[in-house]
Amino acid sequence: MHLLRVQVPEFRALKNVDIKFEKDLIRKVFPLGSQNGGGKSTLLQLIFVLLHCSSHPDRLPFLNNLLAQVSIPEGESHKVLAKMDIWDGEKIVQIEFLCCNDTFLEPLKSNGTATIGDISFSSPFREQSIKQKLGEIPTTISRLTQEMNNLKVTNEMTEVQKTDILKKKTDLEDKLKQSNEGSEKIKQEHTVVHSMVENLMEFLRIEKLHYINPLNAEKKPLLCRIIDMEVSETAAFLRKLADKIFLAAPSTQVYLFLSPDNRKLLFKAGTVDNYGTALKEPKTKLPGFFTYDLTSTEVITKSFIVARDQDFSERVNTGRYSGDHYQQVLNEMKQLLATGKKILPQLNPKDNMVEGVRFTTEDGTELYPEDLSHGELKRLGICVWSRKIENAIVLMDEVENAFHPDWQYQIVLDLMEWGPTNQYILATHSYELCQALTPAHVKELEPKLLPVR
Amino acid sequence: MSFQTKEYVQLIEQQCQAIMMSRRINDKIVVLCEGDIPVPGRRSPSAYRRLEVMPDANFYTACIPPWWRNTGTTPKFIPCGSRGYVLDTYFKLLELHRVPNGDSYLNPKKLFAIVDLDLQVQSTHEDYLFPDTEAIFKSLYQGAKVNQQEASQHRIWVTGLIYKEAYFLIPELQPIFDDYPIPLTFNNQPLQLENIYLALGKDVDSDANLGENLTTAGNRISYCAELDCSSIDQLKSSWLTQFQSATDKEQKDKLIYALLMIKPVKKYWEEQIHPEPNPFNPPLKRLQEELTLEIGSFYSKEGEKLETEHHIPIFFKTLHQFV
Repeated sequence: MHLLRVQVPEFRALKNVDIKFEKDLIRKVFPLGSQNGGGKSTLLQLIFVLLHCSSHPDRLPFLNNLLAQVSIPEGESHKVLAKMDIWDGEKIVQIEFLCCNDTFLEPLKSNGTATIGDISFSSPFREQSIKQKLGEIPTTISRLTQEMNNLKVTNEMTEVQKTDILKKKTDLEDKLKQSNEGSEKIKQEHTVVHSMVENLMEFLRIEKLHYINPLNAEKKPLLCRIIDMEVSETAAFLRKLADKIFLAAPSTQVYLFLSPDNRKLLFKAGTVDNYGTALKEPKTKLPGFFTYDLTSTEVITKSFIVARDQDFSERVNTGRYSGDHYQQVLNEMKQLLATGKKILPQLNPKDNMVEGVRFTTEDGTELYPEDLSHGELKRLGICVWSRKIENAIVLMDEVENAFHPDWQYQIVLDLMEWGPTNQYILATHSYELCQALTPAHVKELEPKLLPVR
Repeated sequence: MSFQTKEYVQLIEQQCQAIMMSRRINDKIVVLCEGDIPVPGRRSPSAYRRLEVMPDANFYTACIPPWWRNTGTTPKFIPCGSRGYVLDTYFKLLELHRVPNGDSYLNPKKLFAIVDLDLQVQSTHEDYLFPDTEAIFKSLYQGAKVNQQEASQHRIWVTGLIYKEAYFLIPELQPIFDDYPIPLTFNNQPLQLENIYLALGKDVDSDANLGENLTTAGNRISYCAELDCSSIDQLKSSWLTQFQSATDKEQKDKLIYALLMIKPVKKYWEEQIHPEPNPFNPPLKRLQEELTLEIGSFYSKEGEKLETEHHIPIFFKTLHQFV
């Protein structure tokens, strides 16, 4: 996959963005510059969330958090959020994301295809609620019937008790009747709403629009159109694409896909740790999301575990234990560390399970964590992480932070070596990093000119 | 040094001040090289993007061997204009550091320069060990190889081939061109370096510059006894005869390197190597710049070989002694 072009008419700080990432450039690393607050991080997050979350229902809450920041101008029926051209290995796929309101459906109401009531983008959500209610009715009727059957008048009862039972029975009969009548009404409503939904979906199908978040009607409806692709294929393509988009950024970044309350945690005194906790959910639910820093250690630890398991599998399958995978990881890590430092897995003394990593000098002297720079850990983490990614679009924010100028230059060469089939878009302020590439590789979110006053 | 106008002297002084005040060179090895002088201002991605051409310095930076890259001590290449400007800047910087007066991030003991050999001889400075670029060349190279015994005494290096661009066309690069994802052509044929050498050889007699500097050129390639430098026509004919009849690779390479020491190659590199015609292929300039980085990467990897004879990796090996 290769992102060839991204256009964003307006989203937060982004205005009239139109950036091309040329496919004819052999080094597929594109630095993206702008002033502080120019929108680099916003652009990376927008691309990531739209492509990574649009096809997975469990990721839609993140998408909806981002969409909450979109406003459709008054009197307008929709707003183009972003357009992207993607090379899928065989052809250029043009994707358009639109935020809409119900005015967008006016043609449907006026052309006679829909004579029924208030067709709306929330109709699928409404239908789902009705279905839920319908599903509950048989249980209610069964319960009421059971209760009625249990109410029996016997000769031993007093008159008062008999009257009470008969009253209860009458009440239950009323409720049962209401439930049956209600059931009919709900069924009728369902027929109407279902018809609305069918009309809505047919309208969208004709317009080649895929409805991304139909069951999150309280948020803004998001539609996706892929030029020259039928709606039935769009969802499958988006799903394929979602596996090929990655975002790496610092954990202290403001993430637009978090809820507003969680975003505020970053700026409240004494709650920064809670922000880290808030990031745990996206880290679990968004497999393409990676933060530098402490996650680096987790990723490195995991690479030792994977190598150990690979060696074990080899032993089981071939009867031979070479330890090659483990040794390979050790060697790769050593090359990335400054001279004289080694990295080893940290074993739990009770069960010998890998529980972390430790660092030593060449002669085995234990190093304290402070002897290892933030940059070294970060580089190790990126290496392990990016080696697993193939043929993907990798978005990286502030990749140069904690790297001295030589490493800022080197990270471009490293990425090309660690994940040679990937395309990298690096939001950066580093001139050194750009020097590993040609001026044509460097893209910029230019500050907008203001009218002369 | 030739006569210098007041404006010229001012320009050189300004350039020296800009270099001395640049924090990124703090106690680093600094190598002055040819190429457009950077516009003053903040070094940002935006500033880099606006460059009309990729700085020549980027090629040399791309050639830094991998073992030196992650140490924080890599040399900083600073473009200073033409060859004459580079040399004048070099000597002015030394002069400014001779008498302590003002501040500087530059350590003069770690100051170097690298310039193209060219055909015209450029004088250096009366105080310098070698009076001109040709004298530097004679000391620094033995035939087509670097004289490593002498290399560490040189602070001003000249290229062993006529221009930096000649390093883009050495025979060992053929696999780079063959494997390049965009098919390349020379004179509308798939790029074979041998065809470029033949074209260079056939054009020897039409190169007025070479004709005027035949004595200098002849001295450079005197180690090739089989080449007749008594006249431009003889040089052409002897080179073509020898090249076309050479049967072993060693003899052929010797002739190629001799030619790349004396025959200007810029127009062949800049104008005659193209991407195969295809609407999806990049514009020529963009292709050349990326190709330059790939070639830099070749020299960088060569730097990992202990016994390399390539000039550029040996240049870095020598520079590293001054870290």
